[in-house]
Amino acid sequence: MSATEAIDLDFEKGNFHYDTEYDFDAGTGLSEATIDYISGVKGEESWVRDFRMKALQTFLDKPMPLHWATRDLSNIHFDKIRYYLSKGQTPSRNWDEVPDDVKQTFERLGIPEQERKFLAGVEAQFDSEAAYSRMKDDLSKEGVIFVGSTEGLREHPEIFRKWFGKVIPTADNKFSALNSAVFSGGSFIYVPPGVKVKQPLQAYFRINAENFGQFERTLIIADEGAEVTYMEGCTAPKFETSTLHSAVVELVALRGAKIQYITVQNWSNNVFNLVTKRARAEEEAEVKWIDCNIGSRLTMKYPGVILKGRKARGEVLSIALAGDGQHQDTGAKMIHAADETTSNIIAKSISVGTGRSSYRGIVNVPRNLKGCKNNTECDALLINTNSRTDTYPAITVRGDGNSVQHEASVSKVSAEQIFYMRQRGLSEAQAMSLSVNGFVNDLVRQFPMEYSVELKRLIEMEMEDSVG
Amino acid sequence: MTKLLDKQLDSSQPHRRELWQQFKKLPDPISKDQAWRFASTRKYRVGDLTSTENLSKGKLCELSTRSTILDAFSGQAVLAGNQIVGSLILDDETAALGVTLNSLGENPVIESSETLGGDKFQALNGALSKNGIILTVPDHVEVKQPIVIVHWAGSGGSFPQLHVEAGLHARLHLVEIYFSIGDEAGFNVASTRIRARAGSHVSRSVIRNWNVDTTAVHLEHLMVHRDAYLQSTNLNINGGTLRQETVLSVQGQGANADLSSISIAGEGQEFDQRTLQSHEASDSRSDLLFKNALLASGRTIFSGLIKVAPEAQHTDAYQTNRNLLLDPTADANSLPGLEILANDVKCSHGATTGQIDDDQLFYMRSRGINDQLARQLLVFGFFEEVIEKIQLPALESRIREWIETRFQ
Amino acid sequence: MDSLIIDNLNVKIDGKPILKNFCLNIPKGEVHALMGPNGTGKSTLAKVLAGHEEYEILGGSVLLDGIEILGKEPDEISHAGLFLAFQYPLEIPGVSIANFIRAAIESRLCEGESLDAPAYYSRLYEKMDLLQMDRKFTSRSLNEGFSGGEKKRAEILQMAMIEPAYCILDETDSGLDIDALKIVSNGVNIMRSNDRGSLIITHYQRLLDYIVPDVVHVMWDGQIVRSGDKSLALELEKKGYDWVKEELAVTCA
Repeated sequence: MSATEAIDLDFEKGNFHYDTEYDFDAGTGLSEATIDYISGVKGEESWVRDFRMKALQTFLDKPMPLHWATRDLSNIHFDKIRYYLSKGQTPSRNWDEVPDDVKQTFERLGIPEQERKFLAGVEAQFDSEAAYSRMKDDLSKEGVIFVGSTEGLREHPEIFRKWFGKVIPTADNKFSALNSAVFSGGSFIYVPPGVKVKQPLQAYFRINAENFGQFERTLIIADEGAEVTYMEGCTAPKFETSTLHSAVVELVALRGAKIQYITVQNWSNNVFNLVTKRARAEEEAEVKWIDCNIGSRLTMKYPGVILKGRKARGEVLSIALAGDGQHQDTGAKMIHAADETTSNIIAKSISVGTGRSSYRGIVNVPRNLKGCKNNTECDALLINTNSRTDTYPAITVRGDGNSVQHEASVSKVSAEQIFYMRQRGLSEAQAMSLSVNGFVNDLVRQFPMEYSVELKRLIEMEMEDSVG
Repeated sequence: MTKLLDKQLDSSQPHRRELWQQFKKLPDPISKDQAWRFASTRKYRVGDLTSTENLSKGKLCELSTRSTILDAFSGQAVLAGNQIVGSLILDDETAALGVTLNSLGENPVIESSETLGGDKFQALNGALSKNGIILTVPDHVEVKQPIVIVHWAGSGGSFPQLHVEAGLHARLHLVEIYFSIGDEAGFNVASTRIRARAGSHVSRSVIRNWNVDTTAVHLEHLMVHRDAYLQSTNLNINGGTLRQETVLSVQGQGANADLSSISIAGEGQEFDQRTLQSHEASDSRSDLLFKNALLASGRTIFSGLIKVAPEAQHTDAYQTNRNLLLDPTADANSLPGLEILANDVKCSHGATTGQIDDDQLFYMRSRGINDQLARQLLVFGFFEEVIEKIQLPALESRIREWIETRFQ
Repeated sequence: MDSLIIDNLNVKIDGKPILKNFCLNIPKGEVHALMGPNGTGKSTLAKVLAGHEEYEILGGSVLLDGIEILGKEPDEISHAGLFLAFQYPLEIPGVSIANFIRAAIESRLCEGESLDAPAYYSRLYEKMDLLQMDRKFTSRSLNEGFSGGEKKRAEILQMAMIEPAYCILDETDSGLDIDALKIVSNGVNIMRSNDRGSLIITHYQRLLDYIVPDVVHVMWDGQIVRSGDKSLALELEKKGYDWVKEELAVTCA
C-alpha cells in the first residue's frame, strides 16, 4: 500500500497567471488575414495554407449545432477571441532555454519534475505553441517521433500528410472546421513497427492569456505492432471572460498496434472545451480512450473509434464531474466497420450543485458485418436536489451475430448512507467524497496509478466545496 | 400537393381551417431532426391523398361481422375510414351505470397537446377527423368487460380520434384494434387521448394489424392522475410504415403506469416508436418494456425518453428496449434517453440488440425439436412477457394467432 | 464522569412523541440490555444518541463522560466515543471495508498526524483473526451484497477497530442464524472491558444467552418500565410482551 505521488493538477494550483509579452499575435477576431498571419509565421507550405482557408469557409458555413446541443454555445463570441499568441515557433529542448515566465508556469504545475520521474517524453504548450519538447534519446534512436504539430508538418510531411485530417475530416463538425482553420501546437507522434514505448509520453496544455483560443492539433500514428501511451493535462487561470479550447485529436492504430490516450481535463470554469477526438483501429489493433473531465464551463467531447480492421477493439472509459454551474456533455462513438470488432464504453458521471452531466453516444454496427459486440454502461450519480443528468445514446445494429448491450442508471447518495459514515467519525464532506470515489472506483482502478490518485484528490476537493 | 385533401375540408368550421393552415405550414419531417432520427421520413409525405370514401351498405355489413374479435364485451364501436359501421353498442348494465360511448360526428375535439415530432400530423388529424369516439366512465364505476373500438382503414386517408375519460376510482379495459379492409394502400393518422383520474385503473390494449402498404401515424396521449394505474400494451403485428408516439404524463402523486409493446418488422416494414415518460409528480412510477422482433430487412426505431421534473422526487422510472434480430439484413435502432432533474430517484434504461441464443437453440434441438420450430418457440417466448400483461385470455389467444401468421 | 447518562430525554418524530422522559445510566465496565416490543422507541433512542437529524428533540440531556452530546453532529458524537452498530447497515458501493475503516480512523487523527499504514493493517488483521474473518473480506465493498450475518460482522469489526468508549448495538441479532450469532457475540464479549460501556438493544432474549448483561431494562411506550438483572430477560421471554403491556405499563402509569 505504498502511496503514489500524485500529479499536481488541482484547481488552485492552475489558477495563477503571469503577464506575458508575446512576440507573435494574430490580433482579435477571425478572418482570412488571421490565417495568413498564422500560416506565415509558421512558414507553412501552400497546401497547408489552402487547407486552412477551405476549413475557414466550412466553419463559417456550418451552423452551430443548436438543434441538439446546449444553447450555451451561442455565448461564444468568435470575433472577441485571439487566435494565435506565441513567443516563437521552435520549442526548446532544454528547460533552461525556456523563457522565465513560461518556465516558471510549468514548474509551478510540476511538469519538469514529472518528466524526471516517470515520463518518456514531454511537450509543454503555452498558449499557441510548444515552449518545450523533449523525448528520451533512446526512443529517437528507435525511430520514435514526438514533436509539436508545427515541427511535425515541417520535418515529417511524408507521414503527417498521409494521415492528417483523414480520421476527422474538416467538415465533421463546426469546431473541427474551426480547428482545421487555425490549428497550432499539439503533438505529432509516430511509433515505428514493433516499437513499444514503455513509459508514457505527456503533453501539457496551458492557456495563459485572456480572451484566447487554444486550438492544438494532435496526430498519433502507431505503426504495425507498436504500442504507446499518451497523457494530456490541461489548466487555465480563472478569467472573468470566457476562453475557448477546441482541439482535434486523430489517432491511427495500424495492424496489431495499441494506443492508450489519457486525458485529465481540469480547465477553469470559464473555458468552453469543445474537442473532437477520434481513432482509427486497423486489424487486431486496440485503442483505449481514458477521459476525465473535471473542469470547464462547458465540455463537449465524444471520443470515438472507427473499428476498421477485423478484430479491432475500441474502448472509452470516461468520468465526468459537473460542479456547480458546469455542464459536462461527454460520451463516446463506436463505429464498427469490420467483422468481429468489439467495443466497450463505461461512462460515469457525477453532478454536484447545479451541475449538469450529459451522456451522448453512438454505437453503429452496419449491414454485412458478423460477430461484432458492444457493451455500454452509463451510470450517473446526483448529489444535490438541483443537480441534473441526461443520457442520449443512439444505437443502430444490423448484420449477423452482432450483439449490443446498453445499460444506464441514475442514483444518488442517500442521507442514510451519509449518516452511517458520519457515525463512524467522517465529516459530511469526507463521507460524500468517499461515496463518490466509491462510485467511480471500479473504473478508476483501470487508470494508471498516478492519474487515479490525482483524480481521487480532485473529487475530494470538489466535494469539500459542494458541502461547504 | 395536398389540394385533393383541401377540398374535403369543412371550411365552415374555423378551428378546422386553422388546423389545416397549420398542417400546411409545418414542414415535412426530415431525419436530420432528432425527433425523426433514423426514420424514412419520405414515406410520411402526404402527397395526393384523398380521404377514404364512404363504403356501400353491403361492405359495411361485411365489416360488421368481421369485427367480432371478443365474445364478451361491455361496449363496441366499429369504424371504417371516417364512417361509423352500424351503431355504437353499450350493454344495458354498462349504460345503466352511466358509461357513455358517443360519436363526435362532424365536431371533433380539437385540443393540441405535446407531440414527439408529429405536430404536423396532429394538425392534420384535427382538421379532417370525423366521427371521433368519446368514451366516459363515471366516478367509481367499474366496467365489467372490455370496451372494443375497431377501426378499418381503406384506401386513402382516415383520421380516427378516440377520447377516454376514466373517472375517480373507475375501472376500465379498453381494446383498440386497427385493420385494413383489403389490400389498398391506406394512410391512417390517429389520435388517442386517455385521462385516468385519481385512483382509477385503466388497462388498454392496442392491436395494429394492417396490410403492408399502410402508412400510419398514431399519436397517443396518456395522462395518469394521483394514485391511478394505467397499463398500455401496443401490439404492432403488421403494417407498412408505422410511427407511434406515446406521451405518458404522470401527473399525480403515487401514479403508476406500465407501457409495453411488441413489434414485428419484416421486409419493407418500418416501425418507429417514440415515447416520453414524463414524471411531473412525486412518488410516481413508470415502467416501459418495448420488444421488437426483426425479420428480413425489417427496420425498427425505438426512441424513449424518461423526464423527471425537479419536483418529482422519489420517482421510479424504468425503460427497456429489446431487439431480436432474426435476419442479418434487419436494422434495429435504439435511442434510449434520460433527463433527470430530481436527485432522489431510481431511474434506469437498458437496450439490448442480439440474436437468438445459440446455446438455447442447441438445447432445444438436442431434445428433438427442429431448427425452425425451435426458433419460433424462442421468438414466441420472447413476446410472451408482453402478452401476459394484457390479462384478457380471449384476446391474448387471438394475438398469439395473429403473431403466428407472421412466421408462416 | 465515567458513564453515559441519558436524562429526561423527550423526542418527537412527525409530531408524535416517541421517547418520553427517558432515563438511563450506563457506567463504564457494564453491559446493559434494552428490551421491548417493536415500536416502543428502542431504535429511535439509538439514532438520537448518534445524532440523526430526523428527530425533534424536545428536551433532556445525554452526557458522555460528562460531555453533552445531544444535538451535536454525528461525526462529533462518534469522535466523542459513541459507536452505533446499525440494525440495517448501509451499502457503500465501491468503498472497501479496509478503506472505510481506515478513513474512520484517519478522521480521528490530529492535524498533521498521518496514519501508520503497516501498523493499521497489522492491527486490522489481528482483529479479523480474533473475529474469525477471512482476509479477503476487507477488500469487498462495504455491505454491498453482504448476507445479514456478514453485515453484522462488518459492524463488529468496525467497532473493534474504532475502540469506542460506549457501544450501542441496535438489534444486532436480527436476521442472524446461530453460527453468525455466536461469532458476533464472541466479538462483543471480546470487546467487554472496564473502559467501555455497552447497550444491547434487542427484541429477543436469545442474544443474551451469549452476551450476559449486567443489567436488563424493559422499555414500553417511550420509557423504561422495569430494570433488573439477567433473570428479568428470562421472565420476559416466558411471559411475553403482553405481560409488559398489561402489567408493567399499568404500574408505570
